[in-house]
Amino acid sequence: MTGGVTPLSAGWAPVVALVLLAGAVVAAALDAALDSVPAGRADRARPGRRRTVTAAVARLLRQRRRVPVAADVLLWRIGVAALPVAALLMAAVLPLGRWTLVDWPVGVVWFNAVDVAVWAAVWLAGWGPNSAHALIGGYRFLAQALAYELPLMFALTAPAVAAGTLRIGGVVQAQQSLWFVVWMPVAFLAFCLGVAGFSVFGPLSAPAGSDIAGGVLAEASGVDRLIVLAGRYLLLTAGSGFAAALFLGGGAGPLLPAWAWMALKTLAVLSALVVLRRRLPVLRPDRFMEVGWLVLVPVTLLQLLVVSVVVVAR
Amino acid sequence: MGLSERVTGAAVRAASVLLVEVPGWADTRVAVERQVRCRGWRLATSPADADVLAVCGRPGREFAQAVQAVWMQLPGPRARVLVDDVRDCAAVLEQAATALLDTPRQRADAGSRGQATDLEESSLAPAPAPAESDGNQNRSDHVDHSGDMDDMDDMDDMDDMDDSGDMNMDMPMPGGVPLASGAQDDRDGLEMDELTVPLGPVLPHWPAGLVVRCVLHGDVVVQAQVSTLGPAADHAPKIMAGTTEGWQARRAAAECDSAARFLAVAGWDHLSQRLRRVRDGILDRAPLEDCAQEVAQVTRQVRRSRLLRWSVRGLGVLGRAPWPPGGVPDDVPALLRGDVRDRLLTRLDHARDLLLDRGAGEPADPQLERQRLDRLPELVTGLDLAAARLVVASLDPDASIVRRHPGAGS
Amino acid sequence: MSTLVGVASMLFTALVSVALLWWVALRTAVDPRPLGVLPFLSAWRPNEHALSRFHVRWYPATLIFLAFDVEMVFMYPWAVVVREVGAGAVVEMFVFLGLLLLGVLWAWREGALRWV
Repeated sequence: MTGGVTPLSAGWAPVVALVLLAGAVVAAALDAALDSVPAGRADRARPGRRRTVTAAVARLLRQRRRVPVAADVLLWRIGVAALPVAALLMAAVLPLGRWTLVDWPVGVVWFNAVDVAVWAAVWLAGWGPNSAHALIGGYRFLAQALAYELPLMFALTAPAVAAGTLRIGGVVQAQQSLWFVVWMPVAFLAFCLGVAGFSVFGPLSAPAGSDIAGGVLAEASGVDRLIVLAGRYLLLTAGSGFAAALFLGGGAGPLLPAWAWMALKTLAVLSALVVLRRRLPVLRPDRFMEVGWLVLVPVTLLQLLVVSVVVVAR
Repeated sequence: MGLSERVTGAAVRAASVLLVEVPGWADTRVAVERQVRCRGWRLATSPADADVLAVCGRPGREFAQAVQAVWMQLPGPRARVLVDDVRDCAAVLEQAATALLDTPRQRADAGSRGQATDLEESSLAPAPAPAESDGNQNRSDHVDHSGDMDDMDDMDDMDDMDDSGDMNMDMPMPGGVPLASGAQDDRDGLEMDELTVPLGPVLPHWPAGLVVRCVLHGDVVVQAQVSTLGPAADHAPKIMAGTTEGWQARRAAAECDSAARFLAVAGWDHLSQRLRRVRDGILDRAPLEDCAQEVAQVTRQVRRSRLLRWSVRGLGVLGRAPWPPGGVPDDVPALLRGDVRDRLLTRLDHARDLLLDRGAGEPADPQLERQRLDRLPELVTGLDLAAARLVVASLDPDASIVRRHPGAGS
Repeated sequence: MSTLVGVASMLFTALVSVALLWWVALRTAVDPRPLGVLPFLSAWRPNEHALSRFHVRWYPATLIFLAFDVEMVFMYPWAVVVREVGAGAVVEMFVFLGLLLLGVLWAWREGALRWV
């Protein structure tokens, strides 16, 4: 027992992957269900037919793949495949209640490293097809990532400073008395924004925006598109899991077992992100860059300063 | 083969439709949109995302070529339908679904098409030619040509041909397409590659029949040229009859549709959906007071959103002259004044006023539509693509009206 | 050691899952061979390849980012020892960060954060 969680043997990796996949399916199903919720009074009389995740998957599996002329196919495929792979690698250090697949002393740094690898993945997915819209999508992601990544890193550091460890299990255990979200709300919000950012989701979905014909998704069809879309939901789920572990006390809670609390908290963050997506317009990447550097970076640094002063004073 | 049939059935239940609207067939497009939603289908963002290509209206020759080029880009299983009449659209989409379900036919279709190794280039549309759009030409001040407009186009065409001739000799042309090459004057003083990216006629949330031929540095528009594509000459667009009594309600529905398109470009899908529903309600003769009330609610939400205000502030400003301080009188019509957000709010207010029968104006104002088109190139030049799309969506010129009155305003 | 095995096994799982999906799609797609197409340009034929030199506005931002990114290398070890070292560690780190922020302000004034 280190840091309150038990490491599992390496053979459990497929199970952890399936758990993450289940979360992603729930998120996608919720997203689809909200799409067919009546929008306003005028709509209530004519509800549309529900779209299901299975149908969407079946459609993409039946669809043919495409390769645009002179595309950089190898790099494109690498970019596409890297999205779900990155999500699963994140989940490897995520404590699922009392268990974790890998109880790494540098878990926080690992999460950070993988989320930066997503930059390469999304950019390659945009570069690969040799298409103007996709390329613009890829560069939009870079502009956006330059703005959300530093606030995300500082937000990640705050719980680590408070817990005095980079081990995720240790961070979870340090919240036994008080969840970190209570005294580092700014870091929590910046973290959630970062999760939306690396999942290319909601207000930060401009790289896949419909104004550039789907951006990084513009040329992907069939199974390639399926993998990118699945990767986005998997990343969103993994990110929500980390939000629950780092800020919401992980598996801590009364009555229910630790894994159930962890699942509930993850789903709560996930649903909040999916629901919020509908409420907000997309942020324009060029304007977001200035806000990221001039507002989010100082604010998260201030949060970090408060946290370190409290830690030293205690 | 129970399983594979079930997979196919599920796949077709989630089909997505790429809409192409020919100017003048807006009512057909609206009907198809509703039918798509009714079936639980979805609108596609690009041909890669589409199973069904639905052409609303009868396109002219050049437009038809463009449609054919898009048809080649659908991955398959695919189905192409032409919807000419509002009443047909349910049946036509049912046909599309049947075609998608027919696996042997889809396999045969797929087998007959080009593989990644051999491209069917010859059958694709040529680069945008101004052939059909005579009289609707427009370009930004960035081009240093002078003289008659038609001559200018001809010269440009010759230039293009010369350029590609040069490239043939000293540049590699993978896949038969030349590499991007340098622009003369980049704003950063660097050598830049120029990309020619035409926007329209087939693009999600795009005004019907509009083509903006952009030259991009990265994602920044440095040159824009506007033209329109129209319906086949012998098929004059029908004026929608029988759906509503007065033109006011129809105009209000069109304004809601346009505002919904702007919100979709801004990425605010929820509100966009809501406005589309209001539009459908108006066309279904729901009580106009209720519709007006709902429009007012949406307007309030738009007005209150700080995020939207921050995100589009100062974009595409028309008619405000803060310099010199008194402001000079200008000729910008009231409906076009301000930045893109102002235009959106004006549009929504206009829709509400029309519904409450307080509206002034006329059913279709060719002068106004002409202005929307004419002011577009200079407004989008220098913006990034996201901003340019917002500006286009805020102006939303109606190509069918402009084409019907070619002399207006100019 | 066991941590590396765990991560490797997850990487293996992930790669196998993607490969499996690709293999399934070979069976289920209407045609297993990818379709050759021209890139989507609103129905027009491309005049040139899209892969090109993009504008450089994101380079300055990338350079500022790198300054902070290198700083993060110090920050993670620092996070672990703040408690033991005490106030000195906090002062040193935030003076350093403050200086970097001044750099950001200067870069912003110079227009390095403007995309268009």
